[in-house]
Amino acid sequence: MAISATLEAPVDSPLCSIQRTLDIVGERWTFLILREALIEGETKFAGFEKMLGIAPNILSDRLNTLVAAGIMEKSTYKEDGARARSSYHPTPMGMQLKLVLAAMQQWGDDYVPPSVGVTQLRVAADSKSPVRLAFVDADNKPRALEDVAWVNTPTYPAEARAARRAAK
Amino acid sequence: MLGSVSEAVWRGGAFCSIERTLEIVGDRWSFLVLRQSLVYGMTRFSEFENALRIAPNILTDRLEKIVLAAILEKREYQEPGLRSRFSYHPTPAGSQMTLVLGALQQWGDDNVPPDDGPSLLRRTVDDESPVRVAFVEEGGTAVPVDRVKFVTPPAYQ
Repeated sequence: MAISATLEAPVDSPLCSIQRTLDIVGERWTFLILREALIEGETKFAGFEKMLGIAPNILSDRLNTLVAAGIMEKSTYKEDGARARSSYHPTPMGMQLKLVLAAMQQWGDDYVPPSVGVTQLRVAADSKSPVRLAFVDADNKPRALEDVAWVNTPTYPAEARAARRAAK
Repeated sequence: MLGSVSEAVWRGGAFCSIERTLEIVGDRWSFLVLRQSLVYGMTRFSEFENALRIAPNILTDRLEKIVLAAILEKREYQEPGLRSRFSYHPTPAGSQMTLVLGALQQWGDDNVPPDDGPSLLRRTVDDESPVRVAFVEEGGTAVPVDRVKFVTPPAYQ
């Protein structure tokens, strides 16, 4: 009984951080809005709309999700002679999503580059030297993929997963 | 300003590697299929279907896209007395997607963790020490996020 009740719920969704993140940003438009905000510095609704060619209702929906999740902060601005409008600014926690964007960018650069070559580089702001995304250990030393493993904590839903696997 | 790159193509995003990657894996199911493959080592259609509770037609669609992009490789296998079936295995390019999953996971761990903390940790294979996803400068040390910026090469300015 207990097991089937568990199985009714999406077994691993609330506990897996990959999935928790995807529940907020796991969609193409959301990533592209974040690209405009975090990399290009866009803040205005009209700016996102223009650069992405996105329908205003979809843009509105995605921005609301990002604001609700604390990734973006909404404020208002007013240009001379115009009505007040909303602008959107990344929070510190939103800024950390740069790592996710960079991971997708680096993979694209490495494996599906445009025919004309890479169009944007990641460099250290001060020294201008190239940076790559990597797994690093406690000493901040980069580690190869083969050196990294995933291990379960006590909260890992091992029994529920085993039950689902065994289910017909 | 964009040289020979037409405005339409530029806006279409074909020149942005983030967008090119998203064209292959830019939806929740694709990432979750990759999670099952790269983190949990699943290979079989029925394993993905069971673990994700995903509709078979959607799973087929996402797997086909991922195979076309050479992230996973399709192989035929046959168990005694059964018809032959397909299994899906990460290519070297596909394995590198682990970094994307690691970045998604780390952000979730840091910013929206479950009540009892993360359920899965990244550790070094040899000494089980904690692993983070970070920007790394040439020569080897991790660079904080706020010290990294994205720049456009001269050809595109």
